[in-house]
Amino acid sequence: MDFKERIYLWEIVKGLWITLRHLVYNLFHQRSMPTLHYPEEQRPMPARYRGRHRLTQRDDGSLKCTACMLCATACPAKCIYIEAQEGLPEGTEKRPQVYNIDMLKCVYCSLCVEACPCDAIRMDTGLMPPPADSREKFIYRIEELTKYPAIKHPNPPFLHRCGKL
Amino acid sequence: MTIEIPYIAAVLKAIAFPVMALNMIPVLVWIERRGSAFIQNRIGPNRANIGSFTFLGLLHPFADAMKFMFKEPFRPENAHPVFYFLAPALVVIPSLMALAVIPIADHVWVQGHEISMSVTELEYGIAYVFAVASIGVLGIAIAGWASNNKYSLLGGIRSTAQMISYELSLGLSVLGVLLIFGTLDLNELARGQGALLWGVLPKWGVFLQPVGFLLFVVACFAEANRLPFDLPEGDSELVAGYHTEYGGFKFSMFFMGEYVSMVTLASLIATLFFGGWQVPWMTTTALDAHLGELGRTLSQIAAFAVKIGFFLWLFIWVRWTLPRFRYDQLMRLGWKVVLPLALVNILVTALVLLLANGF
Amino acid sequence: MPKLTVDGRPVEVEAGQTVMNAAEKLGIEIPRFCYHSKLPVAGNCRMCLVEVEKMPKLTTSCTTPATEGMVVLTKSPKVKEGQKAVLEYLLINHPLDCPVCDKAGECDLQDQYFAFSSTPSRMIDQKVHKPKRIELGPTIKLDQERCVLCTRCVRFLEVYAHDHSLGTVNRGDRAILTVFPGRPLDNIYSLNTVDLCPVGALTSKDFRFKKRVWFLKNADSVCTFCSNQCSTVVQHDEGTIYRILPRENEKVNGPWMCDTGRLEYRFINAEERVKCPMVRRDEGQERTTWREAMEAVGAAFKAAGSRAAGLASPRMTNESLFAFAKLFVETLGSKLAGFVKADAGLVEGAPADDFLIKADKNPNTRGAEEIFAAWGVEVDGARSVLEAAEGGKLAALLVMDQALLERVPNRERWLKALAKVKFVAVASLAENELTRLAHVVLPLASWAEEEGTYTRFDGLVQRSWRAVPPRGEAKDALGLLSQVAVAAGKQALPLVAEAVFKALVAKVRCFGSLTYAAIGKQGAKAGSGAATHKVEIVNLAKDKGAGGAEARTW
Repeated sequence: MDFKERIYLWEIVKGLWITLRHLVYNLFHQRSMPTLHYPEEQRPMPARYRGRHRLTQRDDGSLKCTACMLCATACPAKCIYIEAQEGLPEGTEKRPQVYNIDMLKCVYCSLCVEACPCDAIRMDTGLMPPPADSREKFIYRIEELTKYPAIKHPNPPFLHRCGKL
Repeated sequence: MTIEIPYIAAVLKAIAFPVMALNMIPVLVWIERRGSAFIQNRIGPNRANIGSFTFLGLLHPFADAMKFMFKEPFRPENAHPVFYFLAPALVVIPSLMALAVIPIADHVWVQGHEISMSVTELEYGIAYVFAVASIGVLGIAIAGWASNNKYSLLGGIRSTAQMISYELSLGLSVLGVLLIFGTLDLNELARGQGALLWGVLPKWGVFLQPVGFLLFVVACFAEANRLPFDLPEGDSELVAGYHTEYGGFKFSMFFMGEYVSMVTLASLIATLFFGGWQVPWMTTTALDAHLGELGRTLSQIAAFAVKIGFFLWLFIWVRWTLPRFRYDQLMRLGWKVVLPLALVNILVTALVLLLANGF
Repeated sequence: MPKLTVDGRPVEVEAGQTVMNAAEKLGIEIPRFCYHSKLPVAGNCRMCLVEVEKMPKLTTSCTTPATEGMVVLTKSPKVKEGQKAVLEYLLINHPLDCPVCDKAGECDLQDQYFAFSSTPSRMIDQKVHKPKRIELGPTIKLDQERCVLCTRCVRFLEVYAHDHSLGTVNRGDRAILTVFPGRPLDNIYSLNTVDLCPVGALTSKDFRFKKRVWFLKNADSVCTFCSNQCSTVVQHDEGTIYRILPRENEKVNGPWMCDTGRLEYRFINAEERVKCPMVRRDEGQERTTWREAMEAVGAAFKAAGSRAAGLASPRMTNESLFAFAKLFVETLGSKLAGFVKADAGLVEGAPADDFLIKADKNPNTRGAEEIFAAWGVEVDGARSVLEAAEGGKLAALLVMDQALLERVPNRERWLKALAKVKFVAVASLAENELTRLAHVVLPLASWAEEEGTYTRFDGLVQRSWRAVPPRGEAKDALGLLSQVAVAAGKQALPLVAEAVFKALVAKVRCFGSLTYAAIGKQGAKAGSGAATHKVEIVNLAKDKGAGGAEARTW
């Protein structure tokens, strides 16, 4: 630092000049600011946006999940809690009794989706978790996780990757 | 029964001045928020509305005030039952009290009574301001201690150290001006700055005491706990410091205290160094002659408003420009730069005066 | 004594040993499924193939006797090819339902596939499907698809449990493991077959689907269900115990363990545990705080003076028993202390056999006898306590034995006597008849929740580590006894098990000069402990205090 910088006053004036420039420019160019007026204006979701989790079901409505806990193992946030039970005689050997995702802990990394060997969990609802007034309500049980259908992506990520889109 | 004009005037002023000062708070908050937003390429709060009128976001401070008032006034567990509630009052009341001696225009004559345009006129006005302002630090220190929270306590301690360090410089840096004008009365000080220097420049404190002015501004920022000296709050380190544990109306009192002391300090800067209510190049007599007494008073109030407006804006502007000092930097600046410079300034001023006036 | 070389390294083994043994002696690991060091050799999985010079084909190392001058290669390309081929064959019809298989994570087939094969299957035809989820008996489920027919389970049951219910039938890819129709596998040692199973064919019904094994944490412990004191591993996660497995200990249980001991953890997790102190008020017992409960205990024991008495339990650790004796003899100055000795006929549990299960269902009877003798407490202290109580001479009684009433032969007499005692404090895990009698009930930590040592009936001192934190507000015995001492206005007792054990060794001569380090994971006997320690040889025959000493062998 030379003396001019050490004395700091001149630097302050330079800084003030910069902020003033921004202020004046923005006063007269309010439309060009990047801020969106959120609820009215919304940024389109990126093509590979991951929404809330969905537990997929077979044609008969039963869960595809076999409670193998690979998702819970892969989860870096430890937000998946599963209790397994003996499967139905006609179904898989093991099935979940409790399948909870704590959306407050979830980091939306989708490693659970990647870990699942049965395609039982996907993040394709395109939904964000709505606000709730208690922690309890952020723990999504099987009912919440099967409630919403998948959305179709305007440009499916897979095709995108193949160069077909 | 006749009531004497001076008494009516005193009551009116005692009501009007605090009301004016408090009314500036929402405006200042609005400027602070929208100003900082524009500085940072944001839009800033513009949602609160009555009907479909948002008044450029001016309603947000009012909405905030409403929210503060209706919040539950709770006390954290183990916070001191008396001091916890006392502290906000100890912050806001002294800063309002300090405003009492600030003149916003020259005296006016109402039915033969000379009436000052400050709540009260004290011969030792400036000493009164410093005395009252230094009570404010007690409020902050007590708030920090009474909250029973380590961050608050640290904030309180920081604030105490900072206030004590800079109060010294604050007092010493104005001594030069006081020496030159030979008075402690703020109205006299303002009046003294009406003359011209070499026939061109107004005889303002800033031209006579540029170093004193700089030091005073620095000390003012520290006294107001504004950036770059907001260590007692230090949001990122102390999670809001001494008012961590305060919410609702008590928090808003701290908030008010901060803005009122900004107003006080801006007025002080204007009065001491920028001629106070003086309209540049126009004395009271000249204005009286041209505009009549009412016009003169109004133009003086306008001049004063413009001056303190600029310094209030400076407070806000600097806040959104400079980063916070580190604690050791703050102390080094206070004790090793500002204080010695202030002492030297006094010495030089006194010597020059001595030489100029001839022993 | 044939000399041979394995992978170029010379080794000498005893006559009759196999190539597998020779390789193990050198620390060379040969993969295997059917071979188990404690079971008869079957040689049917072919995984342990090795190349022996001058032999035309690869040979199974577990069945080939080591002979003079043999040159064995365990990692040659040919062996690796062979291992790969064997794994491919084993996996041809394997269902690969690892995600739902409880064995995943500790499965030999899984591990060895990744270690020795890692090639994708070339099987393009439909796999042979066999019945899954077959109930073999009350404890075990069988999945015939997963079975690799190693017959470890069959051999174990035949050799150790003298049970011939399991067997393999049919041939080729139709071969299955099964029981006789209508004859379930119902054996007290049946769960050992689950441990032995190298795949997930046999699964424990108790543990099934409770937890994936990779989440489990291990704590070395000792089974306290009978005086055999099998070495165990307590597997737990987040404060809950999920299963107990045997820990290999040649001096005690080998790698085996009985089913009763394995399921012992259930009462630790049970909801019926006493979780906070309780005080008897006018109408029944009320929950209270430790502070209030200890105030009541303290007041009673202060008032009682030397008319205080205590009943320990032979299920307590040596450290707790020592602290207990110290509390009564030294701190409170009362000689009225004792414990109720085992009465085989009265305690529920499996009947004793010649394998692992012992008649005495208390793990630490011997330790209790030795420690109480060293403190000068009479052998039949419990009888004196009973008589004093009957005579109305007892003002305060601390019972650490929650199963007291189930264990005594003369229950009615005890009930009457206890009713005459002014103040009864019971430290207990669960609410039972005894706790309902008590004026104060104190929650006690279970054996898995405290640290300590136990003395086996043959004098082997074994150490047990804490696995999980105590449930609710329960305290371990050391902490509880110390609280009683403090409440009675006396000095606190030491709380750290190792410190107590040091004091114990200094006081009780039967323990020789044992230390925690010398005991280690496998246990040690006083006198035969570690050679590095100066061992004071204790002549037990002369030690009058230890009752029944002559019956023991050192």
